[in-house]
Amino acid sequence: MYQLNDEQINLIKNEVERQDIHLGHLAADLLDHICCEIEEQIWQGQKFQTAFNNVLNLIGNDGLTQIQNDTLYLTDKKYRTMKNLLKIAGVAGMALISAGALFKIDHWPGANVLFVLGFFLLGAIFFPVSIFTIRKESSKPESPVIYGSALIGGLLTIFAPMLKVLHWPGANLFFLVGYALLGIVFLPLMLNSLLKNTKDNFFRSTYIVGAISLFFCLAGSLFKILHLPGAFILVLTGSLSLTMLFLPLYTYKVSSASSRIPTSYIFLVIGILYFNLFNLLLSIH
Amino acid sequence: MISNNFIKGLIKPIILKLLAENGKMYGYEITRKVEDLTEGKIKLTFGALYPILHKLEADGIVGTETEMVSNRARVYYLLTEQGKFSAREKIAELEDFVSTLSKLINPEPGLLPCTS
Repeated sequence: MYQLNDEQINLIKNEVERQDIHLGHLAADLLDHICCEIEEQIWQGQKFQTAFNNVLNLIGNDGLTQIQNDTLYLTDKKYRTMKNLLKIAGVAGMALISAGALFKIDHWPGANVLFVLGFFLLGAIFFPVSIFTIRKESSKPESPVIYGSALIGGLLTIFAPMLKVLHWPGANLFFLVGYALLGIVFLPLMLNSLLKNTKDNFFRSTYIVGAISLFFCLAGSLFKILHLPGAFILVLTGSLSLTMLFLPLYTYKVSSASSRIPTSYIFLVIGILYFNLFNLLLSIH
Repeated sequence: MISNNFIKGLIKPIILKLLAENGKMYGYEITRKVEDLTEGKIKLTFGALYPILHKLEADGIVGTETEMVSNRARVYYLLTEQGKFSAREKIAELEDFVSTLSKLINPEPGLLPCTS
């Protein structure tokens, strides 16, 4: 039987590391399994690169990460409970907010109750639980300040639109503190952590461009809430640089690093689109 | 090829039976053995195999031994003392399930409906 050399094993190891496999000895399991699959195919007459691509296609996009999450789901009761809660709170929260919007448009009674319940499920359950699961799935959890600022800043910016829709007091204060926390605490700390963990200079520059663009967007939204001049320019600059600079740079780097599109990239594009739309509408209004 | 829906609940007893018969085995070896014994009709994927192996390990049913083979670590799985008892139970359960299913699909002549 053919045996892979160190260089070939390292290529496979890079793929396992890229997918952040860190749970127990799962990385060793998967590395050995992939090596065995490739060795078998080479023995049957395939070239290494073809066999490697065949196995990668068999695994699929982020397939190893999925195996790790499934393993965590089966072996960790707390994680399992959180994952189930995440699904229920996410679906129920979105359904209640959609129903609330429909009731509000048609001036039916009960719209406010639906809104409050929906935002409560999303803000008080879905969002904190999703931060917990992200932390649990990560091999190197970030500092508690990063999770804390994301949690509080995120909660305030989730509840602020609810207060706004229901014409309750405090919406602007929630937006103000939420955006300030995200822009002044979370964003710089997250950027610092990304720069520390990234060796590639192109990626590092891309992250800096992304963080500055986001900062402009958040600052623009804050200016808008405080009725300060220049809000529209700030949001427009941030949104444009996010779409015209950060996204192309990031897309170029992601596509040159791997022929397959990671799921996180798709979420990032959708997230940027929604973020830009929301901020532009807020600043034009 | 047998549908994954049929196999899903049977992976655990299949793994336990193989470990009971072969002593220690590594992940890829288990998938190959299943494929060989079933003439390729049952294929265990990575995604199906490792979460269950790790669950069995977390429950104390299997233990692991790591060896360096061809410049990489290879993790072997083997039944623990508790696992041997659990394996006997699961295998008996599996055999009972297969014979019950067989009775259901191929009823004895006396149970066949009258066609004439």
